[in-house]
Amino acid sequence: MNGEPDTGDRIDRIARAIHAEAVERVPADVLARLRPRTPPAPARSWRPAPVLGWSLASACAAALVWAVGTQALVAPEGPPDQPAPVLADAPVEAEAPDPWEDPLITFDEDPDLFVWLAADARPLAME
Amino acid sequence: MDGNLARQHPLPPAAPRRVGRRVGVKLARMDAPRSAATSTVEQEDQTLEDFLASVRGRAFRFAELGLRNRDDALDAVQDAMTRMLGYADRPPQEWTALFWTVLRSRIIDIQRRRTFRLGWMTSSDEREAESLDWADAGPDPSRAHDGREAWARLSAALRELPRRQREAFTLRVLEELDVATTAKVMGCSEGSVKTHLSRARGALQRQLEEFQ
Repeated sequence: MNGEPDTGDRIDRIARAIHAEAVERVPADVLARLRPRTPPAPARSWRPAPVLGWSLASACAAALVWAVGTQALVAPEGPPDQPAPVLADAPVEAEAPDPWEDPLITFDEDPDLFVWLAADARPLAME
Repeated sequence: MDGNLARQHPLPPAAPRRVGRRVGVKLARMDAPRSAATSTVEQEDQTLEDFLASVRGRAFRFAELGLRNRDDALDAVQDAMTRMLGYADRPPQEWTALFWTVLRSRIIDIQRRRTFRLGWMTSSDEREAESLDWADAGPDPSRAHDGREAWARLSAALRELPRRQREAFTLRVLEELDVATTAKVMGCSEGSVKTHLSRARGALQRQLEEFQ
């Protein structure tokens, strides 16, 4: 080709001969695998499985909701409230003094008393 | 090219072809010795299974050249054959072009996918070493060895070519499709096929001379 038809033709013939032998020498196990793939199984064989799975999941969810709702609405009578447990090591608070027996408790509780005392002290001193 | 390979494969001067070995591509040959009417009758009687059986070995070698990997080549041919089942109602005269078009497209798909996924994991040398499937069983082991070596050299030279040149040479010369069918399979003009083929021949001549 391109001014050298003999060279091109010779290359073609040699390549064809080599290729023909290569085709004949394709191993039998390879040839056995060279066939169309088997068509996939029809879709109906596996379609019902997801439907059944979703149905089962929905049923389980509904049962769970019913159980929880039943327990919430019909609350059973539980045991009476128990007193809060007292820790053994907790520090015991000091017992509060009796306000009728402590004369200073009034000053602690009513700061207005000091305001009143301060207001009356000045006129007494002027007199 | 005129050295070792030519000595290993002495050719008769007229280069006779094994007529009737591949019914499926008979119409596509430019120089088919039988009349077109006879070939048409034979093809119309042919089933798709017969066509696929007649072309499977050649398709495997074609895919092996493009993919350099035995398993990928098997996958490509199997996929192409499976897709051909969808064209069973087409006229048998169209099967040849359809099959090679589908196979070429599948090979390109696998090449692109492999470039993105595994191209960086496997060296080309490893893939080439895996690619040569050769049945050595025969009466003359030395001849089988020579044939294997010659095919290894030719396939290595073909793999060095750009993809379009390799496709043009393989389809036009090795598969003996005519220019119009080759252009149809490659999705280009007949002029492009001739250009790719001319460049492929020149490159092959230079590469194969280095083997001497």
